[in-house]
Amino acid sequence: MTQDRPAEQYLLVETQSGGTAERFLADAAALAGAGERVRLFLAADGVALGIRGASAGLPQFLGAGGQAWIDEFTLAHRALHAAPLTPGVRATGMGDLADWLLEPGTRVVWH
Amino acid sequence: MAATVERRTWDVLVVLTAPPHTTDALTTVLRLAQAVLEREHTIRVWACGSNTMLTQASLGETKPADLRDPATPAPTAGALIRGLLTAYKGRFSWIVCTACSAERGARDHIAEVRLRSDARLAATIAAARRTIYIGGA
Repeated sequence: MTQDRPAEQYLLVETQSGGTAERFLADAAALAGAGERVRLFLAADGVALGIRGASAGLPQFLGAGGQAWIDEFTLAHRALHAAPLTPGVRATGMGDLADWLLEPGTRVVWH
Repeated sequence: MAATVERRTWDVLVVLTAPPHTTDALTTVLRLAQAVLEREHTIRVWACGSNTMLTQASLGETKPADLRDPATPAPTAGALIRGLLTAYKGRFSWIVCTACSAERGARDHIAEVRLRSDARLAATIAAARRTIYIGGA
């Protein structure tokens, strides 16, 4: 987590799946619903959440105005590159994550 | 007038406590580090817990061969870390927590890493614009 000035946007990185990940997504949806700019990046085991129908919380997060990306490297690593993604989830690489991380005013939470 | 010491500030600090070999955490951190470095920024990793064992010199340069591709050498984590430290000298740093390292009997680390007492963790965080904590308690 960052300790700089008040956040202008949130960057949430989910690397797990299961119950705690769903709670993380619920928090993300609450932030987005409150009008905050929230980016979610799914990596490692967290990519499972991005497969269509696998997560109840992800569509709610997207519906609340959040933006979600999924790590293309991990998808390929797990032979999921052709799997159907939840509508609204876009595949991207670590470069974009680095760009968002380095943006001033970004508050990062890594789960 | 007393002299002041200018402290260096790093763009990103990753405190890595997630155990290696059980998840993708280490690989993800190394990929993130490379992406940050390719953008001309600075990053350092504070290796805690069993991550302190990754940079022991005794682990060598390569892992046992992948039997699906035995001709291609598979670098050890230590070799990958050394590669980043060499390629991005001065902009990447790998810090080994001395308490965690001693607790595990991990000695003789590769020369490129820094050893630092956990008493310096707060100062290390203070010297970073952004800190990411990855792992459990």
